[in-house]
Amino acid sequence: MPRAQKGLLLVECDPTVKQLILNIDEKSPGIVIEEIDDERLLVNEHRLEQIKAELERRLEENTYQIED
Amino acid sequence: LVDQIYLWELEKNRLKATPGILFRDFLTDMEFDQAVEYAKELGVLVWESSIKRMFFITTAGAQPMIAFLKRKAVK
Repeated sequence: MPRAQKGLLLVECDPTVKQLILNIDEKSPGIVIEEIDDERLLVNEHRLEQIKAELERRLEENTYQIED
Repeated sequence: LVDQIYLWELEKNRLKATPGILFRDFLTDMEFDQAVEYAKELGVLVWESSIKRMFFITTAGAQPMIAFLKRKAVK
């Protein structure tokens, strides 16, 4: 009998963001359920807010912000 | 019934997340193919991999798909 896994999100993003999500998952396992391709993966829906917060923090660290 | 889709901007990167359900652990290709066909008929299929024998559908398709698989299991 096949198994149904509920509460997932299919995330579509650019490869850079995908890699960041994989890095977050390494430090805090259980986020990524399945890698699909360079721009898509399945993640646990309950971890969405954590992913979002971590991504914003990491992208901010890697970005020079030019202020006028 | 339209599923909610999460969208947000990350600096210049856009991220889109579609809620749904993953079906896995099909014992045969035939069993897998029949379920994928049914998901297509329902119009709920988001992603499928015949190599991994997995597919992902929107939450709207959850109940009919589970009912379909249960009917198949009885036979």
